[in-house]
Amino acid sequence: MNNKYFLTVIEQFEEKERNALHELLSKWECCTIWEGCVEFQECNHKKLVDNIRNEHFLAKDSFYEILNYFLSNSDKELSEVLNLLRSNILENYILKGGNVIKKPAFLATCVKKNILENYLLKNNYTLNETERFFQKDPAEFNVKEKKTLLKFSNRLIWVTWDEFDEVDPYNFLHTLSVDAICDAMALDKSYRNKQLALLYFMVDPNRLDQFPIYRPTWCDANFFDKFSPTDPSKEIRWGQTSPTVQLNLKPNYQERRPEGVVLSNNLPCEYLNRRIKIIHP
Amino acid sequence: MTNTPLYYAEYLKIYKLANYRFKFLVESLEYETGHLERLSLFEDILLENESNLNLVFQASKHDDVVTIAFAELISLPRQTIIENTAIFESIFSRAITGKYLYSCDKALINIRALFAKKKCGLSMNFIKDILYDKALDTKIKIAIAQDVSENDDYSLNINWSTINLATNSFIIPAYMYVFHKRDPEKSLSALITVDIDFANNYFDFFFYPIEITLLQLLQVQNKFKEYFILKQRIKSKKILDIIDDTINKSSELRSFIDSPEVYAINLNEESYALRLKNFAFDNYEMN
Repeated sequence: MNNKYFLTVIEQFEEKERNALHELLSKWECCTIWEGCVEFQECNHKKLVDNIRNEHFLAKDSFYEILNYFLSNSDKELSEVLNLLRSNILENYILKGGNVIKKPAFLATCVKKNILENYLLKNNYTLNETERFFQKDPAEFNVKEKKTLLKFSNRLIWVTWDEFDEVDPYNFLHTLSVDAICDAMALDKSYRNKQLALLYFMVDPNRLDQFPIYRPTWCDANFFDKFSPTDPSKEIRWGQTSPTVQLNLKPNYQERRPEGVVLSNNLPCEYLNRRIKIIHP
Repeated sequence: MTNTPLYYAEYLKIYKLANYRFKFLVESLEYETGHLERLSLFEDILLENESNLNLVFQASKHDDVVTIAFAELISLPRQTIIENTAIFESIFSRAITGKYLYSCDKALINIRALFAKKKCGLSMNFIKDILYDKALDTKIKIAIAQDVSENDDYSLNINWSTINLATNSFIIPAYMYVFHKRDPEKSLSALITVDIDFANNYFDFFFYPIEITLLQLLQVQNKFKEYFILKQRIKSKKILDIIDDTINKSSELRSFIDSPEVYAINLNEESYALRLKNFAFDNYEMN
């Protein structure tokens, strides 16, 4: 992978600090037991550290701040450092990857159906109203349904699209299945064997320039180890997914799918342009 | 980590046993230790206590730990939720009495969502206490009343017709759901009792009952003329806006309202009003 950007960021540190940072990351990636935090025990620690080195889109000032934070907490376990950092991520370090270049008009995202149902129930929907929401044509959405968000405020929605501007962002797949979506989008293993809801959005072409879609960074991915920073020598316009297996693609499509992040507040259901599609495992 | 929760040590012993770690943890707490540990675990989930939840659940790229923890709670077998009714009621009571300070709303909303999704969770007596608790947040009361109306086990045990809607406005969306199928006029006429302030504050709860009632009225088309008469008696502009929005968004309703037949009815609205002046709207107390 390409760590040029990381090297330019650490150039801002004194030589002694630079060496300390290199040493720290080397120590962390060799660390086999990460005590104290369940959520990091199962992840690939080397990959997580590699992601820091291979990051390219994260704004330099934010990147510098995080590395500086690592240095000042170098005596602590990585899991502890990351846990402390994680509590600041939402406020300070998300959406720092810069805008997606050549924004797509047709976007899609994928959520677990039950998680979306739970979220609607928490937002004054009844059980039957929730069922109706899933069956409704978005053209018939009322005011309440239109303003409904897919997640709590200020959370990230990961979106994908078709690089050839096709209406269907999942057009690259021969067959739409839970496994194919999980592989292509590098979804967490908990998504397998679950009903998935595919949501298709359209942004008004006249508003596209102002519509905020960001290139994803290591921080947006919330330290998720299946995430891989995009190599700018291969793609600079947007982020790319990191498929877990070789995909059965239609001709001319790339394995790594376009991806970007949008703030939940900016993508309410009024942008849905077709019925929610449920796919079963 | 400070304030390590009661269930954590127990959890550490078992978490490697399976992918379904949360279910194992709940089982372990049921068989080995008990009530306090379960209470502590469920409280952390319902209060969205992120730092403690990080000890048990894994966030992912797409879902935060609070979302995952709640989904896991909801994925527990219905029987497990029923067996823990006392715990959920206890958490609910503590939330109502302000035990949790800032997280009270979260706890109430999450318990209500759990209860709705599993169609169980709280006893009928407990629900009655909640609905008639004057101090409790009105949004929660409206939502719980709606959940009750959609759940036959509860709904059939309530004599909805005897409820005074004028003094219990929070019941109206639930009342509309109960009557929308068998008597859509009665459902619609409940909107007459909605006062302006109540509608302005809680209009989100009216979209669904208004939509299903109007669609049901369409099924008995000769009754649709009553809609025009009832509409004149609705005081709240917000409710009238919701009705208009519902009709405008539904191709089915819009094409019917725009039909020549309905246009004629609309023109003759006043003569219908005269002919139906003794129309019996009121199977409930108006005041």
